[in-house]
Order: sequence, then C-alpha cells, then structure tokens
Amino acid sequence: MSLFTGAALLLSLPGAEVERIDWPGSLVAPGEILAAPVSPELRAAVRLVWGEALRRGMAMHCVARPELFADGPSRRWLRTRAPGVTQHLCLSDGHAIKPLAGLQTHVFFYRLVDRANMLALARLCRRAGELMAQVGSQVNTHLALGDDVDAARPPSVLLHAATPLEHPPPVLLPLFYNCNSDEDSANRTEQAGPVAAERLTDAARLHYLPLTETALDDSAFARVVARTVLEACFDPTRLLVLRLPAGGGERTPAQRIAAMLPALRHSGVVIPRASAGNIVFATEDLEEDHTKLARLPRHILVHDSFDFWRHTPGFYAGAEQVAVCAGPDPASPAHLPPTCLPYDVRDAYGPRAIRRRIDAAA
Amino acid sequence: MTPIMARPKITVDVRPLFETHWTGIPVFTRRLVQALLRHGGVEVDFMFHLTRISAAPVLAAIAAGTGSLLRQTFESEAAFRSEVADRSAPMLYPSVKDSFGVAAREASTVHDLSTLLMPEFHEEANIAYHLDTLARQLATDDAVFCISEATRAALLAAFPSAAGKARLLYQYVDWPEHFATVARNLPPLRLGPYAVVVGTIEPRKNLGLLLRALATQALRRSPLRFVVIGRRGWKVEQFMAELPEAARERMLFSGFVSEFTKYRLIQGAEFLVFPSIYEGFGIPALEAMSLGKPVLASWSSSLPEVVGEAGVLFDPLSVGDFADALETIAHPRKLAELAPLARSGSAAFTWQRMAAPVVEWAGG
Repeated sequence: MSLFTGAALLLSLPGAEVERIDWPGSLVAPGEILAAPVSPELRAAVRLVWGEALRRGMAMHCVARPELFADGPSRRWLRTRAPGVTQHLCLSDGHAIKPLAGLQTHVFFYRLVDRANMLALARLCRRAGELMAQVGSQVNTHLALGDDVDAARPPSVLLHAATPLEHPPPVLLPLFYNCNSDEDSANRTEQAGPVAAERLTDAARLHYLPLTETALDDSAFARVVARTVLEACFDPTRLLVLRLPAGGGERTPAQRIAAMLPALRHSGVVIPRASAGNIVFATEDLEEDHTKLARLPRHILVHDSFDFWRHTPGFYAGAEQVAVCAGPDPASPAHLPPTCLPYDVRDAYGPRAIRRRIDAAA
Repeated sequence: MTPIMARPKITVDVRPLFETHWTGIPVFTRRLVQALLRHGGVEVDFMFHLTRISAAPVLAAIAAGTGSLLRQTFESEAAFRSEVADRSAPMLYPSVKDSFGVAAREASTVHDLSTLLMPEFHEEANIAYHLDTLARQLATDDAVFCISEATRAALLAAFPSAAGKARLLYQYVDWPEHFATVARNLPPLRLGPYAVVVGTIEPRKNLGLLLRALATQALRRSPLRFVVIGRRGWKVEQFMAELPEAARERMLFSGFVSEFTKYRLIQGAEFLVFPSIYEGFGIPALEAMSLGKPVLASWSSSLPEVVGEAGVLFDPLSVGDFADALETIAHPRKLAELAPLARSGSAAFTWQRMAAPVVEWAGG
C-alpha cells in the first residue's frame, strides 16, 4: 500500500527531538509540532508531509512516541483517536525506525546530512536488517537499507518543498586558506569579517556548493570540492559559495570552517595559501530571496546524499545546471550501508539536473 | 517396576548473578533459577562464559543476595575445576547471549527493545551491547523468551523471523517471608498519606510528568505526598527548582534503600505511581500489587498487561490526563475497590508460571 492511502496518515517523530519538549499528549495535531521548539529541519519535514496529505484530502495525526503503542490498550487508544489510519510515516534522524504494529511503516530520513545521523543509520542497518525489510517506502531518499546484497530497497516517494527551510540570511565570509592549519584558516576567515552580498554581484557566474558532513565524508566528493576551490582561485570572475555543513550542536562559523577544511586538506588537491575574495563560506542556505547572488547565472553542485527538499523546485529551475555527484567510494563512510541507489536526478532537482560520476581514483 | 524417567537437563547462564548489586536482570535471573529448582521438572546446571559452575556457590550467592562472593569463588582456581559447560544440554541465557550456536538448543531472553526504539535514552556502548548481536542471537536461538506480551510484540515488529520461537516468560514477586513479620512489629511510618514511585530516576521513567502535574489544580487539592524510591538525578533538580515551595515539600526522595525499606515504603503507601514511557515488564507494579496497592500507571508498552484491573491508566505524555487519573485513583472508595484486585492480579504471576515455559522448552 502506498504512503498516502486511506483517510488519515500517522506521522511519528524521532526520540531525540521529542525528548526536549513537554508534549500535551501522545497524539498531537501537526500544528502543535510546527509551534514547538523542534529543529528547523523537522519542522520543514512535517510541513512538507502535512502539505502533501492535505493536497490529497487526507488528515494527519502525529504521535510523539510510537513505541508507547506496543500492545493491547495503548493500540486501542490510538485506533479510537486516530481512526482510519493504515499508513505510518516514521520521521527518522537515522538513529531509530519505529514500527507500529498493524500499520505499514514508511520512513523519511530528514537529516542524514549530519555525519552522526548517517553513521547511526549505518549501524541500524547492520543491527536490524529485518526491520529495514519492512519499510514500505522512503520519502526523499534513494537508499538501500541493509547490510548486504539482500538490503531492502523501498521505493522512493519524492516530495518537493513549497517553501524553503526557515533560517536567517547567510553570513558570507571570504576564504583564507592556510594548508598548514585549519584553525588559522578558520580564525583568519572569521576575523576578516563578513562581506556584503552586493559586493560580490559583479561575478560572471556563481558556483554554489551546499556542503554537508555526510557529503564531505565521501573523499571523492571532497576532491571535487577541492578542485572547484582551486579553479576559483585562478578565475576571479567566478564566485564560489560554499555553504558550511551545519553539523550538530551550537558551533561558531570558525568552528564550522575548521571542521570542514580537513576534507579539502586530505583531498590531495593543492590549494594555494591565499585570501580569495571570490570564494566565500555561507553560514546558511543561499535562497533566491535572501541575496542578489542567487540571481547570477549559477551552477549548483551537490552530493547525492544532499537533502534536495531543502530548496523549492524554483530554486533549482533558476540554475543553469545542477550537477549531482554520485560515488561510489567504498572506502568512505558515506558509502557504508546505507548506499544511495541510482535514480533519475531530474525527478529530485528538475530538468536541468545531470548526474556526475565521481570515483576515488579521479 | 515403573521405569524412572530422567529429567531433562538445562544449563543456565548465571552471568547476571556475578553483579554485586542485584536489581533488574540479576533479580530476574535469581527468580528464574529459584523457580526452576523449586519446580523440579528439569535438572539445572550453571555456567559462566561456557564454564561450568557447581550449584553450591550459586545457591550461596542467592542466599546472600549478591554476586561478590560468587565472583571471588569463581576466580579462585582452587575451588573450581575449570570444567566446560555441557553443550549436549539446552543452554538458557536469562539475558543477552555471549556465545552462539555452541549447544544444539539455545534460548535467550529479551527484556525490552528500548535500545532499538529509544536510543536517545542510552549510551552507544549499551546499544551496541544489546543490538550488535541480537540478529545472530535470534538466528541461533531455538526459543526466545520475552518477559511480556508487549516485549514479544515489539520484538516481532522488528524481527518477524522470530515469530515461531518467541515465548512468554513472566516473572513473579517473592518478598522474603520475614519481611511481613518484621514490618508488623515496627511502628508505622509517619509520612502522612503518600503515593510511592519506585525505580531509577532516568528519562524514560518519566518522573517529570509527576513534577509538572504538581502545579495542576487536581494535585494542589490532593493531600498526598510523593515518595520517590531511587536516587535524585536527571533534571529533577531543575524541575524542583521551578516548583513552588509548597509543591517541593510534597516530594521526598529516599535515595538507594534496602529491599526491606522498599517493602515498608510500598506497604505504607496509598498506591504506586508508575509514569514510565516504556517498560519491558514493570516489576515495581507487580511488587506494589503483591502488597495490595493499586497502581496509577501509564498505558504504555507492558504496563496494562501487568496492572490489568488493579489500577488506573493514563497517557504518559499528558499532564492533564495524569492529573485526572490521579484524582480518580486517590479516592478512598476507588482505592478500596482496587486493593483486592491488586492482590489477585499479582497472584496470577507465580514461580510455577515462570518455570513452566522453560521446563516445557527444555523437555523438547
């Protein structure tokens, strides 16, 4: 049975986000989650699914903790309050997939761009392959879930954002690169201070690389990023915006820069020790309405683990090209299970998207 | 002459009994061993890491209620012959297996699936301990004993292939016989009317619900105090600091207490409060019921199965629902109505019931 079947959909939330909140009860309306202090990514995921459910004329109920409904009275309680539900969508950060007996469970990994979450999912795949085999479908990912050739390959359901993720405008910090010290690079970059987006609009072309921890764990992709940085060093007409990986927890921009630079340093690509005004780090996603930068002719380069639904289809449609880099690099954590299955990138990123093969030897 | 039928033999892994302080799984193991010995339907042998242990030190540890002596004895080579366990007999693990496919027939015990379903409440090392070998454990098990229907349902939801081998293994409560006599001869506790909360204070025990509920009208009207048996930790200080002084004074934390003190505190209470988000079984509920105390429990996981008709259930994530349920159970008429149901409910969980499925499995 497909995900959007029946009169109502049941959505469950990941425990780590639930734990921080005093819920009004075990079953809540989606609006209450949107109003709660959950992460922007979770809020966006709830909004995305709810919007689709409404579009299909379905109600949506949310359970904070599906593990409560293990047996007897608790299941009856749920059936009484959420009648007509046959499908359960588990919003997962990768640390757990929580089945609900009697319902078909689907999964939406909404935050696998964080290294800790991807590694947690890899562990879960190893530990609970049978659980993976029961997943009815996966929302916005194309993963083989499991530990071996028998890995489950649940069909993908792609949902596109109507509105971008909520976040403040990005701070743009011009790169200073010192190949001998990530901390020095990060500190000097931060000390130089932000640059106004208007000062960068003279560029002939924008290359936008939204980086994530999971993407940079793929050494082949890290090499592509390093080469793109190197090319920008020699071509001042090209503006390169590197969106910093968010990572977990509260970190300063300098800490985030220092955390991502080792991926470039270990790439084998030599990057000159210099301050490059046309290469900037962005602390947040670049959106069409945030700066004038997005109006430049632009190329977007993403890893195949990127959560494309962070942006609206319009964002990708405005690009000259969207290159989706795909491995495999069996030696990198990003390609431990779960592996990303081949898929038509145009379904996720629109008609201008192309698949770009990368490999460790390139 | 009637031929004497040989009893089937079973080897029980007693690693949990090597712990110094027995709570949870060590107590479960102790009860299981005692139930099997009392039943007599199987010949019981013991092992630790596939090394045979004679019965004497195990029984001495059970009598002492601690594993420290057992550990010392085991490590003393003079006392042991370093004999390997009998792999021809079925091997029963009261918890996680440490060996796979050694004996022709093996069984393990699943207490709960919280490391799989609620990893946010566990350290990664604990998750790895329980889950890294679970699939292999299930694959090499002839039987998987689950300590409640809820645990069995949770296991099968994640590992459907275990359906043919998952069996129920309910435990029971066995207060030492002298507790009742000694308690009868002591003056009553001077705590006023109170409800008791038993268990380690950790997030999934959901004590925060009770603390938040203290601010509700229903609890402000109630004369009850709340005695928490367990150390004071996990956000309790933060919650307590946010409470008005009058509410703070209604919370008492006993810290770690002896089994007898726990017995007395439950015996003196009006009822037990058990707000857990998730339990594999919920032995404190059964302990309270055995003393005729009704249980105010969440309707989560295994708790309805254990509490049955002997309590009032509530939504563990709803302060309002909890406050309403507390008002209901605290009424003297309701307490009087539930007390006999608590005793009869607990009487359904016996050592015979615990031993039976194991004896049946051992008999092949």
